[in-house]
Amino acid sequence: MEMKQILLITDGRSNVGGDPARAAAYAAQNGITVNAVGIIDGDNDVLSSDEIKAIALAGNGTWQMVPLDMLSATMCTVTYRSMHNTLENIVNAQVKKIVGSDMLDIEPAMRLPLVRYVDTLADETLLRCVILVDCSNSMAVKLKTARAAILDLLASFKARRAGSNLAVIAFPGQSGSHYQMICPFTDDVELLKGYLNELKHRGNTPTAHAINAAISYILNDEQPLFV
Amino acid sequence: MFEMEDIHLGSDICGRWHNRCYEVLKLLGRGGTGSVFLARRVDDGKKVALKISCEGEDLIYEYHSLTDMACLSMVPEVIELDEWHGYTFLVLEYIEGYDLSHYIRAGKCSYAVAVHLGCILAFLMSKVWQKGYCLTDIKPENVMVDTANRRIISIDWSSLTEAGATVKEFTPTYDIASWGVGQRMADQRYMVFAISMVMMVLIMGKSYSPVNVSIDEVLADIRRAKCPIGVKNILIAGLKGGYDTLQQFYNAMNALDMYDQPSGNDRIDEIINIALAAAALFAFLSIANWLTLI
Ligand SMILES: Nc1ncnc2c1ncn2[C@@H]1O[C@H](COP(=O)(O)OP(=O)(O)OP(=O)(O)O)[C@@H](O)[C@H]1O
Repeated sequence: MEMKQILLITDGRSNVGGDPARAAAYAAQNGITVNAVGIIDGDNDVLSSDEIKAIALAGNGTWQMVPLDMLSATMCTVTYRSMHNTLENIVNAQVKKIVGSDMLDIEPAMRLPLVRYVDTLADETLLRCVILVDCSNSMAVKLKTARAAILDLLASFKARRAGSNLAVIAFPGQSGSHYQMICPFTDDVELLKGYLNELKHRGNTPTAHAINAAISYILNDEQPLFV
Repeated sequence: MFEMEDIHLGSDICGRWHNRCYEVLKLLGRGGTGSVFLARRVDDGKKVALKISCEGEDLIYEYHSLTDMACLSMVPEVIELDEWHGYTFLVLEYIEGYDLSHYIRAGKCSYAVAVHLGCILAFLMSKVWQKGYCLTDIKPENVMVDTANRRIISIDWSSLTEAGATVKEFTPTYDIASWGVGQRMADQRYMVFAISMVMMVLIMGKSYSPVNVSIDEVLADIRRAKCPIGVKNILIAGLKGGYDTLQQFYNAMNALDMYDQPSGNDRIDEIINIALAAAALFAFLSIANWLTLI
């Protein structure tokens, strides 16, 4: 089995293109979970949690709003939690089919073996995750941390039993485009490191376009505008 | 992410499985995955800490971690685990007191207190390690000074991880990997680093973030600090990944000759450490009082 995810990292509202929550719903229909991490800016608090939450809810994913220094830790927890939730739903549905009741019909203190089983499954499931990095101008000072956090995430996946591949798409892209492929799916930290130098800030926040690009990349392997 | 839409002060939370009700009195703290409230058990008026989250599995793990570790002192007592309207909640003994971040906000702490606390934490974590686990999210916010019972309590056990596994729950400041000093692996070196950083933060009275400071700058800070060279050397070694085991780290601190030697007997050691906790608490309180006086 393979798990498909999109992880959105942003510090602002989408201001170009369609409704990002609709794009996320489309991803969910296609078996792709959309998770979102919003970066809270101490002084200029432009980002409200509403949009982040709407995207994650529509995309069957999880979300969190965090200060910049918690970005790396949060990207890890959000990804693991989301894998756990997806698998728990699958396991629950199967258990329900077989015995007519599911995990939630068992008292929580007795549920540990099932919770462990789901985590073991998660550890053994192949992961393909596209990270969407908001590169609008407000992100300028945060890109260094975002780069480190993405590398950190791939490095921490090394401890998983099953393979994990990350790809990175930036939005907006070069010369007026809405998005740009930064790194195709890879499990190689050094390779990723090289590609991440291409993350540069510019322009506005076309979140929905970016989600749609990630969907078609995951489903059809269509690499959008690879530079 | 957790939102408290359904929970207000004064609301009653009633467990689906054990049918016990708790009245929410006050917000004690918010974490990444949930909130902790002071609550009153409706049956008998007992005050408890109620940790509630919509991510049930975290609390299920924490419940079992706490029951597994209950034999160690310095762990809050677990009362029950239950569910209410799609939320999972864990009922814990209410610890009256403050977590260490409260003292850090009040100012610097004496190196002697920091070393006492470092010893207590190293001792507790070596017991955790002997049971085959590693507590990965050691930080001032998770260590409480129980002012009523004069104990030091480690409150957050959700990060208990099997020895040798990957660390999934951490806070960058106390995470050896975020500083580029070591791997994000649940081992003794990982815990030694976190405890050293807790001591560092206590002594300096401020926190450091790996986002804008390098480990060399932190080490330069401790070299400049007013504190005995013996303490400095231990912190520097701890922050450089220089101790392989908690025991080595503990022994180095013990050799500073600030208090009695351990007897080598676990039970007596434990009693000495509880006494130390009380001593550390005294020092803490006097510092806290002193700070508020000036
Ligand atoms: N048993 C308790 N008695 C009194 N206060 C408590 C208790 N447990 C937790 N608290 C308070 O609540 C705060 C948050 O607790 P805790 O760290 O356990 O929550 P969490 O949701 O797991 O957070 P984190 O994201 O740090 O893991 C603590 O800093 C402390 O002030």
